[in-house]
Amino acid sequence: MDESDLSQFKEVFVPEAREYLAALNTALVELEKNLANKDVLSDIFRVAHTLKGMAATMGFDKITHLTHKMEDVFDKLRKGEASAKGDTLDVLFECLDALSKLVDEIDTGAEAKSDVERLVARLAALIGEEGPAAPAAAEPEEPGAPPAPEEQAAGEERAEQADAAVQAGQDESASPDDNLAGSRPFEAPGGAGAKQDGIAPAAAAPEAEKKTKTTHVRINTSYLDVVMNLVGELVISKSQLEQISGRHKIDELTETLQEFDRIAIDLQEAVLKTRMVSVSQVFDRYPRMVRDLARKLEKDIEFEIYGADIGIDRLLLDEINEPLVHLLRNAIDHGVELPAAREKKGKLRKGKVTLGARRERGFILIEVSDDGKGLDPVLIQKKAVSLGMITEEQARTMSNEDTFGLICDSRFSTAETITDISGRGVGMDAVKTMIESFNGRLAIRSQKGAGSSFVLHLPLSLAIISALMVRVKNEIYAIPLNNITEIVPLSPDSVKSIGGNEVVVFRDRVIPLIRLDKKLGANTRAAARAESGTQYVLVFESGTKSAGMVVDNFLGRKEIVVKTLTGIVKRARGFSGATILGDGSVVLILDISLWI
Amino acid sequence: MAKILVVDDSKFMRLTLRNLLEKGSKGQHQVIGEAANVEEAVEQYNKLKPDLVTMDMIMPEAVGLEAVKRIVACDPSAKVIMVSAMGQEKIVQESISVGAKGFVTKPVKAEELMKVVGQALGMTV
Repeated sequence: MDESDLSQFKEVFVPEAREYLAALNTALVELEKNLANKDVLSDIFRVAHTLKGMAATMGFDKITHLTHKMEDVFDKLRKGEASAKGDTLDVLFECLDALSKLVDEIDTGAEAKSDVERLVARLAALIGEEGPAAPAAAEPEEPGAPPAPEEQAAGEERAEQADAAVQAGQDESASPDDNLAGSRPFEAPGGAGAKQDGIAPAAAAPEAEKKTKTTHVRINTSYLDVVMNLVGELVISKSQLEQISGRHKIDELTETLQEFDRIAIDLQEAVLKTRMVSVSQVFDRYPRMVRDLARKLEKDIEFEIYGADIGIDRLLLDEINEPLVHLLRNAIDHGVELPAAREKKGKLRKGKVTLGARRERGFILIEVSDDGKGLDPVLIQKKAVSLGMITEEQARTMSNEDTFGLICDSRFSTAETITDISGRGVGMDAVKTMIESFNGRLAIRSQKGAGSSFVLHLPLSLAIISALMVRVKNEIYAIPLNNITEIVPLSPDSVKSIGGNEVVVFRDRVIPLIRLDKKLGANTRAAARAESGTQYVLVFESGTKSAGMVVDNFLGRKEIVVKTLTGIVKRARGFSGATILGDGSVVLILDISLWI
Repeated sequence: MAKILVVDDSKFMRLTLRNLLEKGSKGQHQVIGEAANVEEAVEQYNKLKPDLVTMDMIMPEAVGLEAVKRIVACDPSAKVIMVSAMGQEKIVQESISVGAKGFVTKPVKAEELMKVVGQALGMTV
């Protein structure tokens, strides 16, 4: 194997190894619930075995060595020759952590400095083998099976391969994904890039007719982005054609365009689907985390996952991990009570934390809920008043949902002492900001004493969004629809001034008015025509803050393709991107969170 | 020139074997298909009629042994070689008794693989 081969193999090795480790983590959590579960044990044994084979092939001796010993343990457990004791699983979990560290080291090309000997010795002790003294344990083979001469030779060769692998890793780390992302895009069928996906064409082609099994192809996401972008261009050029057709009114052209329109919509959906990955890719990480945390905090928790097969945009998948980790931690730490406290309240000792995903109209909903102590609206309001976030007046009329929204305010969540009172709090503002940064929304429901539920409303895709097109003076802007809570006509006499800033009274609340034309210094030449008609206020909400934006007219709702701003406009504040309309004009997309 | 079907539940192992078989034989052998489980293996075998099959031992639905049995049942002249990790000698013996033509152990080395493949195909090495 030459080096280029090795790095290419590494690209397949690392994700597959991680998949297996995630599977092992989940299976071990399952095993812990029922130590006698033979099915789970067989699964675990098989996965560990496969992982060992892979690592041995690549010459990753430490992984091979450790998985080999783990396999021994699983085998003994499976055959009933050893029984799992209290610390058996702890050691096994530690092994998985060590393995995932080793895989990380391979991935980054870092020096493999993790030590596995200590774990190997502990594993040996579990199954009653005399843990070999550390130096002797460096020999990867079983003490009982002295290696044959060829195998020793093989061992050396493997060591060489390992060196080469590490080297290849370092080479590659110099220019991480550049090769794929930039300099040779779209070489896939046939070119140098084809080797990578080599499996796919050969394996997929003969299988064309049979469809009993779904076949998968791993492709670099940057390819998908290119395709998505092209679809966007197509949508734009489609609306250009529609405009031309509108001028000439040729029946045949109109019909063809309708057909074209249908195909374009189908294509757009199909491409969106290719970007979808199942949420299980992140969900699978949590059973282990929940288990560890529950143990640490001495809580008894049943963790349930539903809807793990729901698809989500690849880009979003990476984004939701952090907020979810946070919400789950909060649920375990501050939500679910200690077993004794639960019993006193007449609840089951075992608390329940649920993580689920489902689709609802144009959204994906991800919910983290618990049956713990819930949020206390009265205490939250009291604290918010004392922090000067709201007045007592406001507190009296505030809905529960608005009250719970308060815990996402940075002033609230940075106040340490709140944590215990609210059952939530720390870092909630960060969670909310993260969710909003990708056009999501966080809804909180809670019943004091009965539990809480945090629901993330996420858009199906980040690439194409539903937006309201508005006109302010003679400029057109796009505003993501999910940012807008209400639209009301503006009666000029409802506008008041506080400290020189315009405000408007809206549903008994005073909200600031934003006038884009003034903030941005819009072109006023054609402004006169706007002054005549009724103006409208779009109401936005973000956390406890709300604001209204004055617009002159609506041009309708539109599915727009988000293009990122580059070059000199890259740092233009207040915009999340731009889109191109059918007539070729460029329209800026407002980033509402930056305007409130 | 032999047409080969590679059966292994690990994509990584399939890639490795493909590489070893194709490069190791300097283009003499060609991997014409891959399968990740027993069902796929049997199906692919019947469809592609490869000259040789490399078969992993442990796979999700059943052990490789069953796949060997089923392939040999379909085609008594099938040439299947087992790819196994060390420590599975017993199953290897058994697989040979049900019709496998040879075996290599993981980590697979090009030279050894070529030798076993050549022997199974009845070629002189």
